[in-house]
Amino acid sequence: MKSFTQRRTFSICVTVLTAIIVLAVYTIGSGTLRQHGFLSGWILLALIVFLALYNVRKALPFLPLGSSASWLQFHIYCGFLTFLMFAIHVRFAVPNGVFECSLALIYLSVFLSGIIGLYMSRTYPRRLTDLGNEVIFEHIPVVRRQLQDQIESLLLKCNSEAATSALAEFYKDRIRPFIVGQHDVVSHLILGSSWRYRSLVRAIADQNRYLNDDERQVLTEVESLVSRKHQVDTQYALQGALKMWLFFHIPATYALLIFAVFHSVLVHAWSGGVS
Amino acid sequence: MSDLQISRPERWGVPFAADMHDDEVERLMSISLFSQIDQSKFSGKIPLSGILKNDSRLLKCSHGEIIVRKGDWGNSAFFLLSGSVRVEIEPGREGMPPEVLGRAPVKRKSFFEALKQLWSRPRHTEVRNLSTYTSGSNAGIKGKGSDTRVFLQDFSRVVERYKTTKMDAVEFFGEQSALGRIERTATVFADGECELLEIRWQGIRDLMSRVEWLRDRVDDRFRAYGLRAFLRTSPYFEHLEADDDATPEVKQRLEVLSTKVMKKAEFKSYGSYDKVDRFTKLVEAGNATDLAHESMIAQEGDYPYGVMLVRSGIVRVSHQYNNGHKTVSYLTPGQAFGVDEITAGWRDGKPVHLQYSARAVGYATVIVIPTAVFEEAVLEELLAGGVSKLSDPSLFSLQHEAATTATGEIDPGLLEFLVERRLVNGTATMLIDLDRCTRCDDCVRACAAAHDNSPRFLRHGPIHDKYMVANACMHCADPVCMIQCPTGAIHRNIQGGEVVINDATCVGCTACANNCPYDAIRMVQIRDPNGNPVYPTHTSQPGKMDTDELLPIIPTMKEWEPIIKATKCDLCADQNTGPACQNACPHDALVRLNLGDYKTATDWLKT
Repeated sequence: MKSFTQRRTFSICVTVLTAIIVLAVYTIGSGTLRQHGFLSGWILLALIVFLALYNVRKALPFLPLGSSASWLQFHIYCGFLTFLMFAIHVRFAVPNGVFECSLALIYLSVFLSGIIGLYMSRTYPRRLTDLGNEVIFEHIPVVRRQLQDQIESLLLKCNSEAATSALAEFYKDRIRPFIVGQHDVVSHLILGSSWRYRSLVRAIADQNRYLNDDERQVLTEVESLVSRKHQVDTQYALQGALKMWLFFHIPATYALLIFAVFHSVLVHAWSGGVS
Repeated sequence: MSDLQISRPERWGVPFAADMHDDEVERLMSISLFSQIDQSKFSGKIPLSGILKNDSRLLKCSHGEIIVRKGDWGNSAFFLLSGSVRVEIEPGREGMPPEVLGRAPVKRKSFFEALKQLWSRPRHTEVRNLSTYTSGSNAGIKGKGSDTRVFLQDFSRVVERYKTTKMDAVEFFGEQSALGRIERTATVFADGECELLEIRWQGIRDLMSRVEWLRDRVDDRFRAYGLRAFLRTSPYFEHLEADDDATPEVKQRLEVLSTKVMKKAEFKSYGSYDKVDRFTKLVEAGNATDLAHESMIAQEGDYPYGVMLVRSGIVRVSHQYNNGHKTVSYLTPGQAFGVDEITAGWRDGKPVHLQYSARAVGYATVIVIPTAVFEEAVLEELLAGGVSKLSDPSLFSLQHEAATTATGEIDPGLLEFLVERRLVNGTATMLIDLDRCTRCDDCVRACAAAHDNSPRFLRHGPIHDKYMVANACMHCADPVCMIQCPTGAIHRNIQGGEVVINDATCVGCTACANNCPYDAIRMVQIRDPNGNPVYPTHTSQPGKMDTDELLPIIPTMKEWEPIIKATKCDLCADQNTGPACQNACPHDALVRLNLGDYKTATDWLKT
C-alpha cells in the first residue's frame, strides 16, 4: 500500500515537472506564438472548470466517477498549476482595466482561500484530535447549555448552603459571560486558546482567597467545567473554520466562472478576427 | 472490588419460552424420544424435565412454513416430534433463490438508475414505497413480532423445482449450526402439519453431555460433514485430498491419514455463547483489560496438546508482560495456534512449550488436532513428499513472532483496544483517522444520498488515539444480530456476503438491534412519501351489543403504534461505487477495513 508521503512526493514531482514543461513551452513559444494569451486563457478556463467540477462530483456520490480523494488530489495539484497558467496569462504583470483587475482579484481570492483551506484541513484535524473529548459540531450548542446548567446547579446548591454570596456574584460578573456563547474565534484558531479563558482562570485563582472550604471545592469543580467549555469553544472554532471556508471558496469559484466566461466572450468579441 | 454490580445470573433465569407449561413437559417426557433417556444421568440441578421446560419450546408448523433457511444464524436445534419436513439437499447455485425464502435479492443499480437517485430522492427521511410491501415476494408472512413465520407460497412448485428430501419424525436438525455458531447450511420447511421441539444450544449441550446416543450422532454428523469441509479449506490439511492423477497407493495412504485426522480431531468450545453485550459493560466499567473474563484455550508455558484450528469466533494471542498480558495478535476462523511450537519440537526432537497464551474473546470454537496426529499427517507427510510448503514461513515458522514484529508497526494499545472491544469481529469496520478527517461529513451526506436521504451510520464512536470506530455496521464475521430474527429478514447477501436487512420482511421486533453489541442497528419509524408515519391496518373486530348492534371498531394499543423497521449500513450493496462513505471521503481518512485480516489492517494502520 502506497503511503501518503509517497503519494505526496509523487504528486509534487509530477506537478513540478508539468510546471517546468509549461514554462519551457511558454519561454520557447512566446517568440513565435503572438497570441498565446488565447491559448493560456482557454487552458486556464478549462482547468478552472475541471476544478469546479469537483463540487459536482461531491453531489453525485452514487455514480462511479472515481473516489473523492482522487478528485481532491487532482484538485489540489491542478489548483497549483492554475496559478502558473494565471501568471502566464497576465504576462507576470498586474492586469489593467477594472474588469480584468476584478477578475484577477476573484481568481486570487479563490486560489488563496484554497491554500488556506488546504492548510486548515491538514493541520486542524490533528489539533482537534489532540484536544480530545470531541463533540459533533451540531451538538456543541447543546453541550454548552449542559455545561451552563451544571455550573448553575453546582452554584445554586452551594449558595443555599453557604452564608456568603461571593460565588453567586463571581458567577454573575465573570463566569456567566464566559459560559454563554462563543468568544475569541480567531484567538482559538491561531493560539488554540483565548485571553478571556486565561483571564478567568486567573480570576478563579484570585477568588479562592475569599471563599471557605466548601465554596473552594465547588469552585474547583466549576473550574473544570469552565475548562471543558473552553475546550468546546476551541472545537467549535476549529470545526467551524473547517466547514465555513468552503462557504467562501465555492461561491467565489462560481463568481470566477461567470467573470471568466464573460471575459472570454469580451476578448473574442474584441479580438479583431484573431483566432 | 468492581463498581459494576449485577444480579447473580441463573441458568434458567430467562426460559427459552414463557408458555412452556408442566403438562406439555409431561407429554414430552412420555414420548419415546425422551422416555428412553436414563434420567439418573441428569443432576438434580439440571434435570431432563428442566431442560425441556426452560431450554425448549414447541412449534406447530403449517404446510410450507420455513423452519430454518440456509444462511441464517441460529442458536437452536429442532427435534421433529410429528409430521414431516423437507430439507433442501443441494442448496448451491441451483438452490432456492432468495425471494422464495423471503429475502430480497440485492440488485446493483445501473448507471441511469443510480443517476435517477439525484431527483427521485424523497424529501423526508425513512420514506418507503408502500406498494413493495404487498407485492413481488414468493414468500408469505404469518404472525406478529417475534412469533412471525415465513412460509412458501407455492409449495408444490418449490418441491418440484428444487431438490429436497423428506425427513420424518423422530429426527433432529440444526445442531451443527447452533453448537458451532456457524450459519445454517440448508433450508428446512414443513411438509404438511408438523410439530417440532426447538431446543436452544445450552439445552443441546446439556443433553449431549448425558445422552450418549445423541452425543454420538452429533459427533458422527460433525465428522462426516462439518469437519471434512473445514479441514479441506485449511492450508495445513489440504494436501490430504489426493489429486485425481495420484497413484492408488498415494490415494490410500492419504485416505488413511485423513481418516485418522477425522477420528482424532476434537471439537471444543470456549467462552460465553450468548452474553454478547457483557464485554460492553466490562469496557464501560474499565474492567476489559483484565483478561480473567476470557476463557483460556491454551496457556503460555504449557506443552502443546495439539494444533488448535479456530472454527468460529476470535482468539486473542498474548504473552505475559510484567504483571499483565500483552496482546500480540488475534486469530480468526481458519487460523491455527500451536503450530510453531509443535513444528519446532518436531524438528529439534524435543518438545517446545507454548510461547503465547490463547484466549477466547467472547466465544470461540476450536478443532484440536493432537500433536502426534499433526506430526504424522502434516509434518512427516509434507517432509516425505518434499513439499516446499514445509518451508513456508507464513505457515510453519514462528508466526506469532512475525505478528509481534508487525505489532511493533502499529500501536500495541490500538491492538488491545480493537481486541478488547471485539472490533476485530468486523469484516468492514468503519475506521476513521481523526488526524486526517476534517469533520466535513461528506461521508454522512454520501450515505444519505445512496440511501434515499436516510444516513445509515453515525460519525461517532469509540476512539483510541487518532482512530475512531464509527457506529456503522461492521458486517461481523460472527453476526450475532442474525440470531433470533424471526423472519430471516437480516441475512448475508449471497453475492457479496454483506449483512443486509430485507425491509419487506422486517417485522420491527428489535431482536437484531438489541443483540448488536456495537449499536450499529437502529429502529426507525417508516414514513409515506408525505412524511407521515405509517400505521398498521386495524385488524380488531367490532364488538357486539346485547341488541346485536355492532360497536365501533376500537384498535388495540399495538395498532396505534407506527410501524418500525430495523435499518443499518448495507455497505451500499446495491450501488456501483462500493461503500459511498469511503468513496466520498476527500482525505482518505475513512476506510472500511476487514480487521479479521491482520495484514490488511496493519497495512492501512501504518500508512
